[in-house]
Amino acid sequence: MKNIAVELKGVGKDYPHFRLQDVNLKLETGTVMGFIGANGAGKSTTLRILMGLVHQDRGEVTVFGSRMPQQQALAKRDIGYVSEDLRLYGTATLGWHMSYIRSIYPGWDSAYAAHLCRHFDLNPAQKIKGLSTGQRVKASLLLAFARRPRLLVLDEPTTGLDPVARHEVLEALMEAMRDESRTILFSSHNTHDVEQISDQITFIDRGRVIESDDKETFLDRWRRFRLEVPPGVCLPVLPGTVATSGSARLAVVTTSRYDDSLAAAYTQAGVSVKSVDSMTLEEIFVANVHSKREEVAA
Amino acid sequence: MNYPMIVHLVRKDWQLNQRAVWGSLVGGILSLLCLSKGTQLSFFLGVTLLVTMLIAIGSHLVISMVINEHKEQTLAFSMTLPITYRDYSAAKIAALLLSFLLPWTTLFIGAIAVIMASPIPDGLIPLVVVMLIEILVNICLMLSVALISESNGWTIGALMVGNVGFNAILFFLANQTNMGTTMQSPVAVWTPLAFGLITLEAALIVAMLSLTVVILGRKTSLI
Amino acid sequence: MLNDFVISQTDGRSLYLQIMEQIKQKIAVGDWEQGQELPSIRQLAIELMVSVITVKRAYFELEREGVILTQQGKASTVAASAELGRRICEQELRHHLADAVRLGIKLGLTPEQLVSELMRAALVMPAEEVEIEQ
Repeated sequence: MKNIAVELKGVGKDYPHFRLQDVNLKLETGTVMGFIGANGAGKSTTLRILMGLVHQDRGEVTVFGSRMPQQQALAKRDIGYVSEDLRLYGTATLGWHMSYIRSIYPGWDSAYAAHLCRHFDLNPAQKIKGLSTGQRVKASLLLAFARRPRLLVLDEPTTGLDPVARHEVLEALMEAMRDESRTILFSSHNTHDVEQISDQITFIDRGRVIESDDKETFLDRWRRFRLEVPPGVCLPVLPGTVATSGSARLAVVTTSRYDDSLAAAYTQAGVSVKSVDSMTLEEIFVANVHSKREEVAA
Repeated sequence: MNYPMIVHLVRKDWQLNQRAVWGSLVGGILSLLCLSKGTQLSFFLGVTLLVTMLIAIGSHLVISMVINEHKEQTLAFSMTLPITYRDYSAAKIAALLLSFLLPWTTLFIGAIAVIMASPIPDGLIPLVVVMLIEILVNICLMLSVALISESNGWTIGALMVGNVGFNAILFFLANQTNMGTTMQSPVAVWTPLAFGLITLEAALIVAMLSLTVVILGRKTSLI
Repeated sequence: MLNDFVISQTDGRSLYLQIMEQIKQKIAVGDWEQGQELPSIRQLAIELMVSVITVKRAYFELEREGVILTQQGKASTVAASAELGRRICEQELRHHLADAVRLGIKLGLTPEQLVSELMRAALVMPAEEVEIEQ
């Protein structure tokens, strides 16, 4: 029996220049979900609605059984949220913030907080306004992680970080998963991070969720065929074909529904299969977005 | 209402702003010393300094606790805590009032004490009481406008309206009403006008703050 | 023990395949012995900074190939099979041959030409190299 930590049903929000439409999301307890989208696609808006910081115009949001935004105070006890547009108090020190958070949440783990301080190379005596961007992000993450919340919602946690800091953050993220009941939802437009540590992946573009599936299935379903089409032979358009490019004779076909029968189908039609390559999450995302945008435009 | 959390938030706001409050208290006490000198010059200097101190700390607190939280995005940080926006608003109002009332009450009592102890005519007391409460009304106006509009511009506008109002009311009371004469007397004269004004001011404060809480409860987006 | 796994995203192959390959190599070389317990899926995932689902898949495929055994509620173990090392090498051989066939097609070689290329390579390899492998 799988536990659903977070569920969004038909969520929508209207802004003057942007609309979030019909967002459906299901996040199981104990998993890591990566939320990928271009800038302005609606990732941050969705996460804010999830936290109850923004009230949706349509749809239902449930976190650990609590309805958002009505029961947000209850739900937020178990959620750690970090976002770029969330700032700490510049004139106070990191240590002050740590005491502040510790006084509010019973789950605060002082030993773990100290460990993260060393790991992230942060000094509690330093004032927040004296920290660099990367250090500030790590400070916010520390305050969220050290509480050991059941759910971590992270809006672009690695964006803007140098490679070393990025690695430290991913490590801390994975460490948090040692506890099987912990769940993580993080957004990024860095597909490599998502590809590496996510169990589930959701794509969002222009305010709509365009795909949501478990990562390995994603990577299995998408393939790129390099085909040689002899003159006089017609290239069949097989189900699941997302895009066709290349020249008339050397076609490159991207498919989202790969299985072993496809190669045979091409061969039977007289088309020779030069190679079948798997695609990186980045390539899958870009292909998916392009095809969905064309669909909407058509 | 999550009272433990509200206490946390109020304490947090106090910790971040206490230096400014202590500073204003020092300035305020200096103004009282000035007042107590007894000369006409020291009287005006003292009064000006006193009023300035109160308005300065009041507007500083409103801007620091409310407007800056929007600008510097620390409001979002507070909202990730297990609270509702209602808790947050209530905590803000409580934090501001408690922080402001510290210097305000001290200088209120101090001013009356100085007037009674010094050669300054005690007849001034009702006027002083009315005008000091008027400052409190102005600060509450600023607070309400800041919380509802989230805008620095509107808040400064409220400050200006308040200041003009303060001076207009003072002028009116001193020149057009019987307060102008009673304030010269060596004994404090409490007229129905004075009581009426104080009641009106108290009602205004309660009305503004209640309206603010109601309006804030309807907000659907905090960022 | 776990620090010598090297997973690279720029490797070109799926993460789960890389994990499988490195586990098989450890077994073939004798680093991990028959009957030895494997790290739990979650533990390996955390050490490698890779999603649990990827490690799960690697273990699943390894079990399908008979390389490891999984029992309900217990840790996975290296399969106790005398032929395991050999089987892993055989799999690798088939894998490389598939690559060779693909390259041959690219070059436009016929199967016979491909076989003669293989013969040439086998004869050229010095006998000493083969001994060290064994």
